[in-house]
Amino acid sequence: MTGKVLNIQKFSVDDGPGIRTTVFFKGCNLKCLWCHNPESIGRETDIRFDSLRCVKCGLCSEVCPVQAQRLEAGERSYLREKCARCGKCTDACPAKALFAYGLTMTEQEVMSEIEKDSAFYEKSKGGVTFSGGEPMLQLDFLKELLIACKGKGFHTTVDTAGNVSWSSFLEILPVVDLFLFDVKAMDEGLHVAITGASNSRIQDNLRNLAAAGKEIIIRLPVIPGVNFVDEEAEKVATFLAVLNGRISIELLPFHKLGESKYESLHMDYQCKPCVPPDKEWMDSLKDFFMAKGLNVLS
Amino acid sequence: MKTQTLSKRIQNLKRKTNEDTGDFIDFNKSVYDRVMRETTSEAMVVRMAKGLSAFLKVKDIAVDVEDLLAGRAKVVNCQYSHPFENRNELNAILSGPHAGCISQADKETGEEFLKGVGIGIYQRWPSGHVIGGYDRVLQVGFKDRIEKAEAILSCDDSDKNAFAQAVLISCEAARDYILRYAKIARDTIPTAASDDRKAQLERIATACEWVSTNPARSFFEAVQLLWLTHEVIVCEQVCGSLSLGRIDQYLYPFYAADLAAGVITKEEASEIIEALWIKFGGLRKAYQNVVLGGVDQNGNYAVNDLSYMCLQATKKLRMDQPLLSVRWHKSMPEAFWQEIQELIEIGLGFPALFNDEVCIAAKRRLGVSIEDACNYGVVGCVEIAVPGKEFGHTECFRFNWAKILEIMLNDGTCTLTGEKMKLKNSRNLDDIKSFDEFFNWYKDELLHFLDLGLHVTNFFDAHYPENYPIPFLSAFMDGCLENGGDVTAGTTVYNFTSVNAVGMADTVDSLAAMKKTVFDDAKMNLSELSEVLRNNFNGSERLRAELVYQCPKFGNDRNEADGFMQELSTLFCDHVDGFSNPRRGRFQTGFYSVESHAYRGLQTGALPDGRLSRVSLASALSPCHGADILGPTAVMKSVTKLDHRMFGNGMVLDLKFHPAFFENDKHREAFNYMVETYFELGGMEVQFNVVSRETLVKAQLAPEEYRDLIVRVSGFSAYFVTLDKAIQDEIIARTEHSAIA
Repeated sequence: MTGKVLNIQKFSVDDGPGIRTTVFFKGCNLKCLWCHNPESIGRETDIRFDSLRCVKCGLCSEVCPVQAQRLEAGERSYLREKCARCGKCTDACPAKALFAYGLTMTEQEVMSEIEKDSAFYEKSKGGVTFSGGEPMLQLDFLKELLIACKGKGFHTTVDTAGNVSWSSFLEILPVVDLFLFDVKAMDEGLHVAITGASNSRIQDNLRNLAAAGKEIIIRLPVIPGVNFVDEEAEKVATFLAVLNGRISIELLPFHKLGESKYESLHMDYQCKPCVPPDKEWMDSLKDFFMAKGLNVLS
Repeated sequence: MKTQTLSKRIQNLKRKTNEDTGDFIDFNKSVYDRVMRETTSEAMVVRMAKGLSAFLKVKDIAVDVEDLLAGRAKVVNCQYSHPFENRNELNAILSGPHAGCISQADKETGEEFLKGVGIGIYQRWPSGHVIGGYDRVLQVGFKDRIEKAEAILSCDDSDKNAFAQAVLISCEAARDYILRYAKIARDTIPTAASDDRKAQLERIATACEWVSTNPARSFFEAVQLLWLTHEVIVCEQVCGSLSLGRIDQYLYPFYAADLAAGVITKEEASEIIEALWIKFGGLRKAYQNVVLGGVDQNGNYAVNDLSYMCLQATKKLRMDQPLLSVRWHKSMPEAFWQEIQELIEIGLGFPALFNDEVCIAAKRRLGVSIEDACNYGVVGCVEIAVPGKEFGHTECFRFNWAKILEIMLNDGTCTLTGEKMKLKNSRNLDDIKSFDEFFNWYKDELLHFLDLGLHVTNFFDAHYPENYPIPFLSAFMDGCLENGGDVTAGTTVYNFTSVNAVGMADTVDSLAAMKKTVFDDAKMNLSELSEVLRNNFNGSERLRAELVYQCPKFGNDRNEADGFMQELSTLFCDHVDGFSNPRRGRFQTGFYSVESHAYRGLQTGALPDGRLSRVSLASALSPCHGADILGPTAVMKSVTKLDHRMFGNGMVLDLKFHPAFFENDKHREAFNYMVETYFELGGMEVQFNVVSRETLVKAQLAPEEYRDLIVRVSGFSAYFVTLDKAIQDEIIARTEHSAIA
């Protein structure tokens, strides 16, 4: 079986316990305004161009079957709307100035990368994290990898936004040790406005997952002026407080790392005017959740 | 342990030392010249002792108005010890008393070697690089050596007489030198500014009077004697990497006794260590290594108050000397590791970490006893050696793998100078039909040029005792006095010769690139490649991009490139292993490069991995700059595919981290596990650069060279060069806030 993988990141130390390898899947069914990995949203391969690396050899325009890559009078241009995403230019580019977001990989190929760092997982009680994009959209591929990881004795983590059917969760439940579960907004209208999707299924899944006794780290992105407006903090706390199970929360302050990626992908960046939250606000949010009896990770 | 601030006195001493920019003691060449003129009929070892003795009588000395220790040392430009210039060394032999016995073949090989030095194949720096018998000096004092030398002289065993006489002269010279300090201190007491200062001067004077002949009785006396002995050792020869060994271990009995007797406090001891550190700091670029901690043969890890104080001294003083090393073992206490990690995070590059299990095994392989192997110290950069028992010429021969590849692709001719070397097999590049054929040829030439260097090294070695003896250092090296010869004559317990390699990753990456581009993909033939390299890729940017970005590189845990490193390392080390020197000792290999990767890089033309002419080669066993793009764990996996027990003379893996990485406890913990896992995988040594703003700015300007730089951004970590410029700017600004004071 094959899947669409964005990247495999070794020495990953922020996506679960210990030293981990994080496999980023391509494709997501939410469109969060602040997404810092816009290249992970589309399910198709995306092509990015790094002008610093380009040696202007013109190979890309020679191999492009639809004339989407052009080199004219020393000026390179890329016509995204014409591009068939066939990958010929990214294969040909000698400097890897053109590269493809999204590689089709087999389970064995992914596992062979994962296994290389097994010594580091063992010592640090780390393991493997599947993230994205939304890894649960490639459920069969994910399940196969999770089973393979458990077969090797690796700790497994799935980083999800939860917008899939509960039956999808049931498929992988026995082979996941930890879920990183995003909660972006409680108010239904707000959720739809900032992610493009309803949150009712997400909330149900989270309740069920907690009831199933799974270890969960709830990840709360803090995007000033976008979520955590009005009574949101109160609503989030109320919702989380009644969940049973092994739950802690992690606050993720907004940052603008993805901004230039939007430009290179010809996508609109709607969080352009947003500023990262200051430390006082982050600290006060942390205190607020702790006062509600929730376990907040630093 | 909480970091205390420096006392006013220590701050002043540090400032004065740093402001004193003169690098060399004004070496009074005329003193040695006069002695050499007056002693032409005597043995060289006696003449050197007399030269040292005459020099120490007139050498500038001082006890600074605030200093806790007597002493004044700077690097001495000692012209009668091993010369810096290899040409002078060869000339000395060719014009020496045995010139008539030297064969024409030896002369020619010597000349070929010097030509190789000239174009960057070889490097030779034979002086210094040893750990003296400091622990023994502290325990028995100079009088022990003086008495033993007198006893030998009274027996009139003429073979041993010259050396015994030289030991007697140099130890008496050291005694008298220390007494000069005693007098200066005592003479200053009446004019001292305070009663406190009077007491300090009294302590210095009393200590110097006593330790000028006797063993140390207290911690203070031990430190004072240690330092002044070190001064004499660095005055005796060109000072490079004259290292101190396990200072926390051999000073500890003195400290413990004083502490128990209530004559010293921890704070006082700390300040004395700091004063000593500042003395080391005055010897610029002297590569004085100090090693802390370490396991004994029963598996017990030795760490004590002094180990912590030494780490603290480096942390507080932030000077580049001494070079601090720590012996890592899984039984190391957690508190000690915490202290070490905090020091690493400061970004001084200290301490370097050495894996006891592998270092001890590497020495055992070479015939070192278990007891001695467990007592290893570190010479200069990373050369593991038994203190006071091992003379290993650790820097006497470095060999540039990449240069061999360069000249092979250009019919033996250096692409930068036009100088031609004689290849073992000169070949027409167009006749080479397969990669294996080329690779076998490379291995053949590598060993051919290695043999040439090994041969010449031994040729030089045989002339040491009569040209460059080191009697004072030898006096406290185990076995020298008993065996009746100075240490260069193979009289101590372990008498190795060392061969170090440089340009390994560049060679491996080049071979991998050639395999893919020339042979597998057949994009060009070898003579075309040769032409492109001669032109330093001018007009071949597309090809260069392919070589840089499309070919396998060492350091990414991929066997395509790592496999070449395994094969060549084993070939190289096995070959070196089979050699012995004229001192009845073996050869050992080192995979570290000091600054040689940069300097030999300047002498190395363009390479098939896309590296441009005159650019630095890879540092030690680390991957080429920017070639490792999969992070530190992949590098560690690649590097540990080699058996590090082959590196009896040490190896280096250098990794860079951004300081912000350590701002999060979870990351600090991961870092600890990463180190632990590397060592369990068989890594011998690792050291860390926690980088500065300056480096980050450079990384912005030349991102391809910094592809492996990791930064902590906000809730996660990322490779610096993959971040947007705006974020890079932000991190640069943030770094300035946390910049080193």
